[in-house]
Amino acid sequence: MLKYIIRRLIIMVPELFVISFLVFMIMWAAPGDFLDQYRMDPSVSPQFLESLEKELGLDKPPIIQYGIWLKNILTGNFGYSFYYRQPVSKLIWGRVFATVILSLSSFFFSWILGIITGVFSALKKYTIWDKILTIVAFSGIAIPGFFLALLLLYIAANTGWFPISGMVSIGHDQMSAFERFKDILWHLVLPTIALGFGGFASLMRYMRGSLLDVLNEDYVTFARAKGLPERKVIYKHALRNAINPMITFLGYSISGLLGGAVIIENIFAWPGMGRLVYQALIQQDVYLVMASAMISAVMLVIGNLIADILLAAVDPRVRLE
Amino acid sequence: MAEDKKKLTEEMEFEETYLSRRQLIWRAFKKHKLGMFGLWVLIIMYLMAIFADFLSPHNPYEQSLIHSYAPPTPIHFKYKGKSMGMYVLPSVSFIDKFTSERKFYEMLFPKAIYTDEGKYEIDNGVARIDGKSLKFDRSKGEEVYFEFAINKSIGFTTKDGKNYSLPFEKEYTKRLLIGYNDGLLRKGTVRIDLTVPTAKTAVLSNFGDFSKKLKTIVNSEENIDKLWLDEKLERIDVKWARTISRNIKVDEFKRIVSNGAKNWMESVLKPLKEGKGSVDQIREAGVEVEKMILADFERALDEGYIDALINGDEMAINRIVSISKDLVSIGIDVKGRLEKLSAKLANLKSSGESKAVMKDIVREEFYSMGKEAVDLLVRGYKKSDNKKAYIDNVVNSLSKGVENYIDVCNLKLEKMVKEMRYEEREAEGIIRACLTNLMRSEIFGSRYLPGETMAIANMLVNFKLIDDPNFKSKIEDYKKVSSLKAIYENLQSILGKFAKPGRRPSKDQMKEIQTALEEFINKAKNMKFSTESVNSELRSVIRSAEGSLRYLKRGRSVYYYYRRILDGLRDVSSAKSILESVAANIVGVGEIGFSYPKLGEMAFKKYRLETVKSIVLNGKGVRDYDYRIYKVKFFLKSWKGKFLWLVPSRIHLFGVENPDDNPYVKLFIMGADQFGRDVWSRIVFASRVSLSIGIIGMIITFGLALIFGGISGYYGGIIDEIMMRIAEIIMSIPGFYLLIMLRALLPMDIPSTQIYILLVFILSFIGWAGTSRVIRGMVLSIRRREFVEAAIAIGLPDSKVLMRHVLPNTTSFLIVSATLRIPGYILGEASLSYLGLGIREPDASWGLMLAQAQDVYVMQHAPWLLIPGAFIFFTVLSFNFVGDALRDALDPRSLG
Repeated sequence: MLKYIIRRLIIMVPELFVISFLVFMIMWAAPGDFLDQYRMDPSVSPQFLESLEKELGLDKPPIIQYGIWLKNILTGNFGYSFYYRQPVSKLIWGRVFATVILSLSSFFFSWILGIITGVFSALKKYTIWDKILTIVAFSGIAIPGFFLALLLLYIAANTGWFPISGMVSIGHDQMSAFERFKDILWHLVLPTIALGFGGFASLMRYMRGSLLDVLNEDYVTFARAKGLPERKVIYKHALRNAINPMITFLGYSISGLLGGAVIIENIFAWPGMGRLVYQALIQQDVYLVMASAMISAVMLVIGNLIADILLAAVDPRVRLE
Repeated sequence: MAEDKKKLTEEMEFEETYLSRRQLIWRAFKKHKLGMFGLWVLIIMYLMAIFADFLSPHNPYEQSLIHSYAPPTPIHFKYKGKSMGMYVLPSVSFIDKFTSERKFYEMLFPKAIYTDEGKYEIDNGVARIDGKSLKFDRSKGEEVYFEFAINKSIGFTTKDGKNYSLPFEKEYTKRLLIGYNDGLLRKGTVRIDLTVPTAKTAVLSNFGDFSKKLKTIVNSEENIDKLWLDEKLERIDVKWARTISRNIKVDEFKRIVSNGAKNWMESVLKPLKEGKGSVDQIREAGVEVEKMILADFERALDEGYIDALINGDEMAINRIVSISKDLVSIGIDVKGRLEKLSAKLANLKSSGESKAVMKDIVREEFYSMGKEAVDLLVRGYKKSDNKKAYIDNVVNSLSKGVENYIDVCNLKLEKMVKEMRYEEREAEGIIRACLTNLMRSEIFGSRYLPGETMAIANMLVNFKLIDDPNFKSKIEDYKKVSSLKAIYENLQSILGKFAKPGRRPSKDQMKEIQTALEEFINKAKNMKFSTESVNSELRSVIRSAEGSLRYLKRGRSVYYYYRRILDGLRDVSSAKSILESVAANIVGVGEIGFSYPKLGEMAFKKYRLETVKSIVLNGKGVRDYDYRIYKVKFFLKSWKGKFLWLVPSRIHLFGVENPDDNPYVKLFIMGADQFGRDVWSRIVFASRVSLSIGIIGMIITFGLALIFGGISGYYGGIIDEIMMRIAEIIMSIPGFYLLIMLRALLPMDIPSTQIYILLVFILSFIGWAGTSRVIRGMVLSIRRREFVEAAIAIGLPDSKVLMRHVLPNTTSFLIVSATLRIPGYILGEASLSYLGLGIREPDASWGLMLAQAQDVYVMQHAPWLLIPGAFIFFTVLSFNFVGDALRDALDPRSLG
């Protein structure tokens, strides 16, 4: 097991290296660079442009730029953002809180609700409740996240039940700690639903399917035959086995925790990573893009690894080699 | 016999059970209700995409700025109580400058007016009055208009002294207002001018007693220049009718009122003051007091105190007492009476009496107070010992009363002026909006409203309404471009003649082209616009025109250079884009209409003077009028679309019949967007993008995945290792970032068709890695099966084994997963377009259409912009249903 983990971690290094190289080259190959917006402006002098180019290192060939970036990364320096004129690490760190809080809340929303409703609808198979939940699930899978977000926004704007944008109210700084908490929670509701609804729907379907599969297994029939109470059959025998495949999903969803959600964050003006990175991509703020892409890639790879490990931990039939 | 029958049925059953695999799958699929539902929805959606032109009542690209954010057009069924089938009214939607709300009005274009003297009909440019037609020469700019006085109610008095009145509700009036202003600026509408005389009566009735009172006040006082005031009043009447109250100087008017009232009071009180007081004189003064008390009542009514009184509010009582201080000074116990009254009202209220009745009671109380005041005055005069002191006292309190009265008058005046101002401003706003729209539709080449734009623009400069230097240069720009317009249109028509493949220009045509090109170059070279970008654009066009000309002049091998010449010509005909960019600048001119308050009015007057020929219907009673209605019909001819992308056709499934080409007549079943384009038509056209991108993307993805996964799984070993690492790396780059990054890799400003192709490739590039891994796994397992080994053993080449034996065994999986993957592409395209990275305006895609609803304000006021989201939703849902049903159907266990 330990050997397996170490091997995976070692493979990870060249993989990340290639990813970073690819991303860098894509950024470089895109027409124009960060300074284009200044070049278009006639009031910016060519001398200034030249000095800026030198300062940002854009005058060097891309392979050297990449080399410098790689060297810096190894010493823990993520580089400078061209646009914000701040260290990338500081910028990202500033946004991590908002992103994580939104990701976590939608994560818990979709998982807790998804599993509960999934189990419920599997146990009430073919009843009216099951049908309603199925409709909800299919709608959740089919509705585009941004459309759901717009709809929620529309409802909020018309009823005034929820704030329509941002993470905090205007008077947030004057509030007591508890009020601040409540304030953020209040702002969190809509983005959480918009972000987590799709996940909730698919998790519910998976949970339902998986539990139904397990309930058809022989050992469940056997457990029933030997006279165990139904509650015990379901929660001790069936549910444990049904949850196993879900564990893999858990690993995958870890990878999304730091990525942010570009569109949802845009719609709700949530000050998270998604917006930062989207803007950086459009402005070709290379180092910012690189850093966030690397964070996402690392999270993805580690998430996959965790998924594998978790699966092996819960399911004794799976052996990692 | 019976045995035979049994055998027969057995055979039939036997046959039934041995259906082909395809039939079995279809059977299993049909059992899946949701799957069938999804299939039907998809069939409808795809039919919609295929017959998009046929289904759109409007051209999805045609802008109609007067309908910006227009809500779904209401369809009416009854007209004047009669069933008329489906019809719509002309409508307009605009932002009201003064309330900054978006408003939508149905406009009522008059078709006929019924007066006491007969029927006035207007149809296709001829106005008929009782059969006699009124001639007017449109080429001389003459027009005939209907014009209505704008008022809450219009009273008309006929010759024989009968009164007619048209009760206008507020909303109704506004509608008329629009029709009135709009028709004024739109050529082709015929109007009969009813303004001045009818307006006067209307105004008089509206000013009502107040106006008369003013006149009596004024007339009774010689000190005031009678003529002057008459004129003033006259002017006020007319102006108000035209909703132009700007020239009323309220303060001056107030002064006149108060002076007049004071002087008049003086004249009443003079004899009293001079000690010649008699009972009659006192009584006379008392009657005036009575009037004032009624004025108090009116004021209390205006200020809402009576309501408060009815509700038993003590504050109200005190307030009315203070309003009626003249009464108090005469010695009436106003407070006590009001308290009693209030108690009485409270009783009535609890017994459920109506408010109107209670108001009457209050009024009666005031009347009786007035009567009492007269009595009191006279009695007091008779009783008093010191008559002189008593009269002084009366004079004093009456003077106070006059002041009070003047207050009431002024208050009323202010209120009225306020109302007038509101209406006037509204009218002005509308005029300006019309002006803007007029300019816009001129600029964007719509078929209405030809030369007026320039006329108005010039006028604005001549009138010195606009001192913005840019404005002048913009108009100059526009003139220059207009002179180019004829040339490029000529070139375009030449191009149109032989731009078809295989047709080459004849020598004469070459000459024609050459002269046109030369003319263009000569003219264009001397042009300089105020905007640099337009200049550079023009320069590049000139360059390519010169290129074409060079090739043309080389003469001999004309045909050889044919294509290049054609290219050059195309560039020249793109001079249209210059026109458009200049026009875009001039739209700014139209916007000035909003920012310069006088502009609308001046343009209005000037235009009107030049074009109106009036028929004055003096003293004729207007009884009724008819409006033009526009029928909604099926299989109607309207805009030119292309049936099945190929056949030009004007027939559309439904639409509104618009014989007089009224630009205000539109049928938006799902509202309109910012530019007044029909949302439904755009949804239909956008479905082509959204529905095809999924399928094409899926085919490319699975093609890639099959090749990649197939090779990797089939050969295994080092090839497998390398290929799978590549796939893994692509999978490790977070999807959405990769999407945006790849999009950023490609230029932003390219036509929508190219973007479409790019999107397909980007979306498939992201999707293939995961699928190829699954296919690899399947191939690995199939590879070990006996029949594959057998195929290899008989010496088939690898490619054949892979194509014929291995990959076909993955079809079930492929079909199901392909169906379930399609929504991903649809959503991907929608998200990219939503972010502005995908399909670009003016082309439509569902995601792009949703992007218009981003703004919360817009969303709240035009929620119909969210409809495209529902289409995405149902499409994706249907694909999921069909995919699920297919999975069940293809599952060998369910095939039984």
